[in-house]
Amino acid sequence: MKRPVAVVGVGQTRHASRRADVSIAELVREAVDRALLDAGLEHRDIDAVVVGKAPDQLEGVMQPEQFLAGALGAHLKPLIRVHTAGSVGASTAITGVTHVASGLFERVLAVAFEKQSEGNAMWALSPKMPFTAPLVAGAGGFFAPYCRAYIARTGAPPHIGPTIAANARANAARNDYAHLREPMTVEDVTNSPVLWDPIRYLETCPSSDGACALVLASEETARKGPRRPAWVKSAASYAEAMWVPGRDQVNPLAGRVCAKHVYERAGIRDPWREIQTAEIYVPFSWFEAMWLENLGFCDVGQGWRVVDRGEQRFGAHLPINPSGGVLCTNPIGASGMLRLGEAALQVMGRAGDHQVDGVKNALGHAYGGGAQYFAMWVVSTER
Amino acid sequence: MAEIPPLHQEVVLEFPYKHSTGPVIGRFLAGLKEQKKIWGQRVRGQGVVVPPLGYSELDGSAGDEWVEVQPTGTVTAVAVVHEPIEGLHPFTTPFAFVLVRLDGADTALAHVVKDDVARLRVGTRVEAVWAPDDQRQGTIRDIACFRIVAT
Repeated sequence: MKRPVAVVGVGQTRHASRRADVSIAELVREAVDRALLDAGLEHRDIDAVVVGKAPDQLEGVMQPEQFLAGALGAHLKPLIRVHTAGSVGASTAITGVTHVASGLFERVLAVAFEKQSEGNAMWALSPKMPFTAPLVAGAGGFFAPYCRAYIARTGAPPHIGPTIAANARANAARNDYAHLREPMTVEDVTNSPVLWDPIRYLETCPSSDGACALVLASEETARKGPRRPAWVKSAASYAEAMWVPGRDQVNPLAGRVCAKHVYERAGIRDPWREIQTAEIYVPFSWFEAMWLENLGFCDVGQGWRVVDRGEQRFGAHLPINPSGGVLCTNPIGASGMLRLGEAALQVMGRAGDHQVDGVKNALGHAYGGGAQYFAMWVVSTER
Repeated sequence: MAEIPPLHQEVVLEFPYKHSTGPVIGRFLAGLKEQKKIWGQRVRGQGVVVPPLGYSELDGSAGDEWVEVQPTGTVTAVAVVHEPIEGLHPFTTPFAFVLVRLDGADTALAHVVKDDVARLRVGTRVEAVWAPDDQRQGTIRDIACFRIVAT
């Protein structure tokens, strides 16, 4: 990066299946106010604003960035919207990073949100383009075959998916902001109905209303802040074309390239040993095992074994999604930013009851589209 | 391959959304429906904002006291639609899009004037025409339209 960038403020809303108590603007302001308070800054201190959310069809509000300009505190400032499907929250944060890294801005507010209760994600995310079959499969219908392919390739036993889902819920119980926090056993998950084979109801992310905001700042600002910042060691996003022959959605090339990029720039040679916790985008249980491999935490075919040995649990070698992750909280547009923000909180030492001990480096990760967009950052206690 | 003409495909997008209005816009809309009153909110540095937002767009501070504004006001901008499109526009006969600064407000409200549009000018005085009691639903069209104030 051209110059150091730090996360100096993290804010998120209380997440729920329906936040009928607030409008979209009020939901966004709840996260923005908390991020600014966290950073010890006010609206007037912010130089530029970046906002992201999933496609407009989710809430049926066209160009929400326009009517939200005031709620975002963007009056008389540069405001842009970022759009990369499910990874958008992470891409939005990374766009904020490049704003600061460029040297053009000192303090940038990055905001992402979704109010899923106002529409229907399955409908909104199904293509309605000419000459494309309108299957209304939703994300679950789209991704389940890749989970099945992963099982076929690796011979992973059936309890791995339910194990991941139950562990996520155990983690969310330690996170005050999480949407689904009621404990559940592997047996509970196994007994829940299959929605899209092999994915069961309790192995599926919820629909949530929520927002997240981050304040990204230059080194000078970060040094003056009230709290220890999270230094952004590296950040990158990569897209993958949809119809490339030989494309592998089980272990996507763009994900591997993006991970390699952020590790190299962060000086990390062995992520399994040098990263202490990771917040990764797991909307359906099996993706945790798949991404452990895609992100280079283990060899190909070994992700499910990491889960089976419990090495990704809270308190174990590499806690994955100590916040509970997307399986417990999923305001789609904000989900990626929550991953990056939670990773930042871990290195700031302010993750509360789900704080992992001794975190020096943390990975934040999101993916979106047809496993097409990847966005990641490595944050650290050290510049 | 034999020459074949390309096809067209019609796509209709339709979905019923349910928006949470929240306490601020919600109260404004309830005022239209239940009270036939137009409520604004005093906001630091901006005067009285109608419809209210609940916050200052200048500095993000929270909205202040609620203020009832008048159903009368002054046109600040006008665009006449001479040939309305049926099924798309609110009226089938010529009408006007207007911005109206209501008496007591410091912002202009976007709305429509149904009749007498040839006489509309910037500065014309207009008043709200309410939808009948059994037709008000808590939307901005509970004000059916504006009309020119008789002088």
